[in-house]
Amino acid sequence: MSPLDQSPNMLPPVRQLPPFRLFRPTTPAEAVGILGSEETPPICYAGGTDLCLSVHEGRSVSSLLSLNTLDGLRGAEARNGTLAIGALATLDELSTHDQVTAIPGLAEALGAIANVRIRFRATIGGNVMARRTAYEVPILLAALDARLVFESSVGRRELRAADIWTAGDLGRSLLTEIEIPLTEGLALDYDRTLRPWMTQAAATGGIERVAVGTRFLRPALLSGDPGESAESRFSGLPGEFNDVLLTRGYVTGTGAALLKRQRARLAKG
Amino acid sequence: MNESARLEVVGRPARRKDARDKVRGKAGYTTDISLPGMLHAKALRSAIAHARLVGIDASAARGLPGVHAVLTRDGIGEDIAPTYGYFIKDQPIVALDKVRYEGDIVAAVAAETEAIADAALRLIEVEYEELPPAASIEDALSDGAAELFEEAPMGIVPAYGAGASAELRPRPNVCYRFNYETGSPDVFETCDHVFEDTFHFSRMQHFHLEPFAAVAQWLDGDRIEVSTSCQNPFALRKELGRVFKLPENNISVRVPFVGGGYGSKNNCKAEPIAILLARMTGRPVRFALTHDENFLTNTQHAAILKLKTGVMNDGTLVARDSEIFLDSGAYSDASPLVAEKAGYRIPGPYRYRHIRTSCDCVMTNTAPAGPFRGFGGTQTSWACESQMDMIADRLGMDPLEFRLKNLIDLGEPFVPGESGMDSDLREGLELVAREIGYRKRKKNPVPNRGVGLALGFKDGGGVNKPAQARIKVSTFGDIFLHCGTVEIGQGAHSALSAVVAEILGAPAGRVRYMPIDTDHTPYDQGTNASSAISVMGQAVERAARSLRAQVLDFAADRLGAEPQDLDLEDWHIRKGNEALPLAPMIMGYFGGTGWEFAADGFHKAETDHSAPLETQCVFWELGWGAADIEVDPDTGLITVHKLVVSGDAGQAINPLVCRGQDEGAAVMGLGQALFEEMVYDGTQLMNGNALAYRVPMAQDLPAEFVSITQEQGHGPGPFGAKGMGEGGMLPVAPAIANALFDATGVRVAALPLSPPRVKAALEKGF
Amino acid sequence: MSDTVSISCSVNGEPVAAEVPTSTTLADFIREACGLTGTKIACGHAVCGACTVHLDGVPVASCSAYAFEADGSEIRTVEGLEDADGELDPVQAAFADLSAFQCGYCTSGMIMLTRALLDRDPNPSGETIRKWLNSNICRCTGYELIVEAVARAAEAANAGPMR
Repeated sequence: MSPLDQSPNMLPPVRQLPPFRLFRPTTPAEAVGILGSEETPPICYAGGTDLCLSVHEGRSVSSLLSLNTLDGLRGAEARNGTLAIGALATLDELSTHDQVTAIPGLAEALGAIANVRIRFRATIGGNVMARRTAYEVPILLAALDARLVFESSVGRRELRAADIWTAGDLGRSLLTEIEIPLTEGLALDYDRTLRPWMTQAAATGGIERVAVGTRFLRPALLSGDPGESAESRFSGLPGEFNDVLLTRGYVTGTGAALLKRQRARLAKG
Repeated sequence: MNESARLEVVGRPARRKDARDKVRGKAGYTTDISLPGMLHAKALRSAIAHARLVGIDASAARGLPGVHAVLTRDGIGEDIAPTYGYFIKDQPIVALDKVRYEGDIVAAVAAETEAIADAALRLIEVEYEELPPAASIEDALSDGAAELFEEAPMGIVPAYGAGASAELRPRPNVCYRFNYETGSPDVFETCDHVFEDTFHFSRMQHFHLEPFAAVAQWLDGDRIEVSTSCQNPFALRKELGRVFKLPENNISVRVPFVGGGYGSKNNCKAEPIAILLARMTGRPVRFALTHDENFLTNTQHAAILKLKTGVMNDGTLVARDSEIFLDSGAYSDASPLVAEKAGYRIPGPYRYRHIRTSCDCVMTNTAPAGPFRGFGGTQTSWACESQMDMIADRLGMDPLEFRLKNLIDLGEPFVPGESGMDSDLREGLELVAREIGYRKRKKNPVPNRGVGLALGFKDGGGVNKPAQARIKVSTFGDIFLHCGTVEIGQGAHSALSAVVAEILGAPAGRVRYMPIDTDHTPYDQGTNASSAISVMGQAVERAARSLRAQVLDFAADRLGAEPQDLDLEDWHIRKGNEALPLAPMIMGYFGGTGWEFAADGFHKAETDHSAPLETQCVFWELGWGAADIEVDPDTGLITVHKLVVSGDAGQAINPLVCRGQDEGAAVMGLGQALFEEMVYDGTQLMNGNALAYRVPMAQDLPAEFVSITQEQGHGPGPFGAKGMGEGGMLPVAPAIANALFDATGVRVAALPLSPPRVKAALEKGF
Repeated sequence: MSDTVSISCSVNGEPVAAEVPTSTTLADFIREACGLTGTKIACGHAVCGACTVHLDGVPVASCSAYAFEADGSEIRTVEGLEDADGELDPVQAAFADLSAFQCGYCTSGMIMLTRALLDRDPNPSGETIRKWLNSNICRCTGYELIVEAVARAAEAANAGPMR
């Protein structure tokens, strides 16, 4: 249910939108062109899972850019010390992809998010661009220090995955690629046992990055020397990291305990 | 020879009658109905929890092309009684003077399409004057709390029997209080110990997959036809007659398959708005809520339960005094009935010399709470069964032995004036204890791993519930079963048909359960309280036996034989070694066009002033549960290694269906125990949709999940059957909490047993 | 640019051509344009899976997909499982035989999900079955009988046709 902005009224979920203008480009360049030239940029549509939810919540859609007919932006490849993942790659595709399995723990993590049915359709890019705290790819990408690559009619732009929450309006940009730096010893452990209260991704390889996700809060990214104690890693958790389901105290204590287990698993390989 | 030994249809794991339609996508639900010219309705709701409604301007919405009507309070005239409810008529069709929760309906639109209706809602302007809200039981009962109703709405208190009473609005923000007392409170003074403990119960949503839906027509100026996803069509018809000031024979309520309810689909929900919009437009109107709106329409009751229990050193229970507060939300809905049941059931199935209870329905500015599987029994089983283990621990007794010492015997009345217990409670408890390895466990304690037991308890079959059934059989033996029990998933149509087939000696396939239409279907009070087999089953059984006797009498006359020498077998008369087809006999007597045999059956528990609720309980519904759990002390996460639940079907009509009922109920209880909860931040619901609200999924099943359908044979229904379907939910949460105590020595008295709550308790250490 | 989109696809093996508003969901297309109401709309968020159909063999929540995506595709719904003689698919038969349903509102989606699993893995392990079933919600049964029905359907299919 969605309270209308600033309105005292609540609208029921919208099951049926009025007709929208439909764009079905076949190349990324064509898509970028449409996003740049339309007066109101159309909303990007790929796996559908999240857009339909937004529609339910009252998002109005006057035009839609379907990415499903695009050539490319799928798969994953290692190049120049990074793993480049196409934004339209589905979670299912990535969970068994050779290049993804090369990063210990990543394919497993992508293959655990949501469920089998959703993973067939949901794209990695869609999961990020939804910017919903309950979604899990941003947690993984924050821990992996991933970069999001956007193309727009004014050029290419990169964004740290962890900054997606504060990046402002990206409506004229097309997320094309997600780049994960392949640092020495890179490995990921993703612990979902406490979902939906919290999940935690820990990555090694140089500095240690721990991303903590909850249902209602933007993921917190805690980084530092892997030699530091788990407890001190969590001393960096933002002071206001509370919601109706959990307290900061719970997250620090529990997060540190999970991190110790994650370190042990990562050390075991 | 005992009757159950020669059952042909009853007791077999046959395909349900609805199986073929349901696996082929051919079963019709209200949401599948489409009528020529049908309009679609959508409702605008308040985003403010508590406010005076100053004004509504719907003129722009009315002007939108494709919009046929906009319903606001201005459209409700003298010809309508604008509020409805069970005991208390406090819920308006659309907001009149105030809105009382985030989600209260202020206007509704009927339009050519849902998309146009959505667009029209955005054009409606509402002016509110905000009032301070009461978000919780504590808030609503505090000094100076805002009142949801400044004046008491119209309501009734039904007749109660010995020891029971109730009052409307005993204090501000309490719409109803139920009281029960038996024995003298003086016995508290003789107790060696008196223990006082408080328990908190969280609130779930029913989460039925088929949303509330109704398709209504207003015909000939004064006639209503409504198809609806509803579990009590006759009670609904009566209420619609009152609201729309129409005779009941001008209102036809039809109920197709219902896509789940778990209690929620009683009484007015989508129907009044659909009907009123149909009247305003002269067109059929479909009002199908979205699943998200389920969360804003009906919920379970959160509760605070305060128990004071007196006990002797040897573990003999003596007295229980309890105060219960139910969070009823913004409108009374079924709260008074739930209060009655919670107040009545709080002692549990144990023997006392004194019981006193009160149960208050507390109004808060949140979604209305109503009937939910367990109907107050889930709340009371949580508190009662948790406290049983706490008392056992304080007395240094084993919780199983403590229960065994105090359980009511088979045949012993629950309280004075009540019917006798119709299950052997000890037998069931020993069964689940054995299955979980309870008595063996103490030899090898594993850190943070423990075992717990609980016995869920409720009275079943409803209060003073009449049911009627009619059976017709055509010349060639085609059987028509007419009764008002709604097929909501529980398998009642198959079970009732099986009873008919068994008695008439017919294959189950000969029986057709006829579509429900209040114009033709015999009266039934409603599909609730696990009453289908225990109450309607008795009506059906009587109808079938009466019809069988008619047929045998007819054949005896034709054949010059005695009826007791004849038997009925697949529409043949068995006489010794002869099998004589009935059809020629019928046409020989009634003429070539044939005949229909018809018989009615009726059942209602006798009115009885010595019984506290004015009739004795039809049957007692039990759920025995046991859990083997492990808690992770670092995170507070509970893992259930093994869950055992058992119910007593008396006689299973279909063992697979009984199993499905117990397992489904138990998994709902598992969700309640571990994670499932409507989360409110003040008056704002934080997880009101399927994405945010977590229900149990396949991977939440315990590694070992055992359900055992007992058939103790003492039930009042056909062939000794009892009701099923609620009992399995009741023991799960307390069994897990008791196992947590066994594992850690820490008692958690609030639900759900979520990791943050459990960890906080472990850190506190008691 | 037009408010409508033309779709030509096959539904349960039958060719379908239709012109529908661009914003028509796949579920509405199936239920309203094709008249196949066995596909149920429940949660509306792709969470519960009651609306699961196959789009080119992939199980998809049709409430959260648009009809335009089906252009040039094959759609399969619960109505397309039985054979021409009305003989049930082994998945349907197993759900019916084990009463692996109650209210029935999730059943079409559960059956289509199971069909998609068995199309990919005719001999799924218990773990695989639970992992797949974790995609859809059943509020009635507690899942155990559904898990058993999936296993039985796999066995029955592997044993070959009974006739």
